[in-house]
Amino acid sequence: MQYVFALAGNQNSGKTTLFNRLTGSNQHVGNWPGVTVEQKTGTLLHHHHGKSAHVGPPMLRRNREAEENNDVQLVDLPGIYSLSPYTMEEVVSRDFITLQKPNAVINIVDATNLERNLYLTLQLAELETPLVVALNMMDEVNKQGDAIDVNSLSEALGVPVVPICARNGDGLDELVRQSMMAAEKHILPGKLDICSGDTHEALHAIIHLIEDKARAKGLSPRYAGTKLLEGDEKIERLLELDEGTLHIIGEIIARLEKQAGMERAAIMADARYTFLDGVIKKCVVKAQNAPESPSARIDRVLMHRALAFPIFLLMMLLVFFITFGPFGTWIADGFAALIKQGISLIDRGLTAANTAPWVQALLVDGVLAGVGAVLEFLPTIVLLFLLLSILEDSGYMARAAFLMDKPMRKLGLNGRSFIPMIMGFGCTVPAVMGARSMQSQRDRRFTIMLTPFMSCGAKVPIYALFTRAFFPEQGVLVMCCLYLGGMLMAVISASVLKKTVFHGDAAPFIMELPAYRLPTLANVGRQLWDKAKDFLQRAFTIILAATVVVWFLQTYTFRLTLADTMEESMLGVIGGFIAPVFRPLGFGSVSAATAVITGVIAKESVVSTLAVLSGTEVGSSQMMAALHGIFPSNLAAASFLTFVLLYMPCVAAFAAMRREMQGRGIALASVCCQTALAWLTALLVYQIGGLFVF
Amino acid sequence: MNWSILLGVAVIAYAAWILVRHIRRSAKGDCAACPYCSGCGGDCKKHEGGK
Amino acid sequence: MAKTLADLMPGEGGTVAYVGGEGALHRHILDMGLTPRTRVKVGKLAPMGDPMEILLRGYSLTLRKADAAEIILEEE
Repeated sequence: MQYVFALAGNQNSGKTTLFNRLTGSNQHVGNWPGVTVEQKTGTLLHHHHGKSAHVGPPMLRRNREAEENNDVQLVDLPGIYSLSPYTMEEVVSRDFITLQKPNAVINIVDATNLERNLYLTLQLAELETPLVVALNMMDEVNKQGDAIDVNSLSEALGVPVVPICARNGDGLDELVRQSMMAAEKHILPGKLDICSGDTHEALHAIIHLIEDKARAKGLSPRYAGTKLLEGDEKIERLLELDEGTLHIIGEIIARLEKQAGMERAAIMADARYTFLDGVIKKCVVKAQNAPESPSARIDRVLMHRALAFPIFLLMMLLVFFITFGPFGTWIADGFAALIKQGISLIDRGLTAANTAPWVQALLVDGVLAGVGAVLEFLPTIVLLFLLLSILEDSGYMARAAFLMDKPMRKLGLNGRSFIPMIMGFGCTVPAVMGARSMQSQRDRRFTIMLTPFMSCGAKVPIYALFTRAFFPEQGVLVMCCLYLGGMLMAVISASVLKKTVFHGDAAPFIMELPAYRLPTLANVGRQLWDKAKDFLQRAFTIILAATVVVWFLQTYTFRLTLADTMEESMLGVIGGFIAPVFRPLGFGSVSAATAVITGVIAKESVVSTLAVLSGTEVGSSQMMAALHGIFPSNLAAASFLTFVLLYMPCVAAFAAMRREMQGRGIALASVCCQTALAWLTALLVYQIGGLFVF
Repeated sequence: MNWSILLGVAVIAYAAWILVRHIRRSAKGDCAACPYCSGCGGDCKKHEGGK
Repeated sequence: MAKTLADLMPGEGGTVAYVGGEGALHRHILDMGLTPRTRVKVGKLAPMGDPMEILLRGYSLTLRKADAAEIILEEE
């Protein structure tokens, strides 16, 4: 029988690490239906579900296959701190557990942060689903000198508690074993009496009132009752209580609030934390004279009031310097040389095999030239991603958001917006997805509108190529100008948008500052691998297709005869229509126009198209010469780069934006404005730059 | 028939298929360029095999 | 006038008396552990003085001054 387990826990509790460990490479990322919350599922490894029972002669192969599917699906719920009805993440999680009824819930708890983590555990325990607590980061607990009595903790909570260290893989077998057992035997969490006195009475009174209704809806009365006490409107509606019942509940609550001196939401929160205080006292021994935590010590320097901003700037510059400076270009050049070798090998091979000339042209001048041009930048993109991932996983990015909150607020945004925007430097698509962490629709849309200004990784090949061709000495400077320019435009756009489309203030900023952690090689490696795989897939699918199309349009006329000149070909005709638009910007040639258009499919195409159109090899001096032909002056190149920096993002990004902003109109408008802005800015660059003789 | 012509046609057919799939995906609002949906988080249940 | 969390300087601490505010934010503040009778301490401030880092229950929480002003502390 196929089992389904849910994995729940706070953010920063090591949930992702645990999920990766438990599912290995067989993960599938998708969406929770109807909402923009990411859903990850995977198949559990290392379990012995269904294998233990069979004794006797070996089963025939046929029989074995006839046995039911013994997979265990693990569903990763979003990182949450509670089960309130206020955020999509919480609603999606609680609905999954109460309505989909998984066979067990694994609750990962950060042992260095017990109280807050167990706050969620108490709520999960109310859901009448087998629950196992995975007590993570035990290694850090030991390092701090604290001690946790796991057995008495388990007793106090009424659920099995398994100490683990997700990073090292310790305790995972035991965790899986306990979870399987809990699921197979349907072991429910023990009933806890969290509240005392008046609260206890009131809660039980409510539970008694709604017991039947709750059971009818398949909900645990305890869960429903607690939520009603808290004032959960979703549960109220779900239970379809009649006026009379609602009135009585209202009275009970009013009396309780007066007795407790707090209002309803605070009452339950207080009750839970008070209960947890007792549990902690019983089960945890804190080290005497605990030394200042390493995170606090690091923060004293990194987050020092005077040093914080300069250090942050330095970090960003360092990232750029490593990626685009001598080290990065050395790696990129090496890789490019490899690719060139490969291509010429294939070329000679094809000639030797007497390939039909048009096929050879298609393959070598078309596909290989185009895809090769893009592939060349794999190392650079991977390097950039690596550095950004390390910064994020280490916990530094959270501090960056903390730093940037006030300045972001001046722009009308939230410190939280900062992280998706930084991700935008890698790829716009996950950055747009990352905007889901924003609390309000307004914030989300606002952030998404600005992410394309953060020059994405796919544009790097374009910058690198042009830098090599036109500004060989000033590589790093050019990069800095481009990236800073993008950010400047973002700031300007933000101020405009704030006054027009997005009035009002950003959502509140409350965020846990996680401890600094050394990113695990496994996690970072996986992220890198995913990114590299993604890049390669794009190269060999979309870029390849785009390249073929361009080659085709370039080689044939509309009458499907061989074109003798560029102008005759289909491409020439189409380009001829569009090119004039770019003349005032200094690059009014068919090639440039075509490259810009293919850039809509994927930004890397700009490079591959230019390669194909100029009929040259990637990275060769001929290509450099050809570029100088297409862009008559350095200024034209600069203007082109400006346009590329700012104009509409690729279709993938557009599709993501449309989905996340939930409105085709607004996404389209945003994209049109961007392109218009790009055109104007490039115009300014070219015309005004032309006044100073370059 | 020269095998290379077959190869050429195959490449063109592949390119055409990619384009069509891309357009169809964009229309559905999927992460248009995420062939196997790693790390894009889109509504990619339509991806190959659907594991 | 009672002191609020916003009035504390880095290194200073207090005990929460009452959590003001309403709606989702209010609930979130409570869920994160800022409940009555909780001991809190201010860790550091961002360079421009806002937001604040609040130390409570063994972890760090960022909170804007405006939101911190809703959290009233007990008289010491």
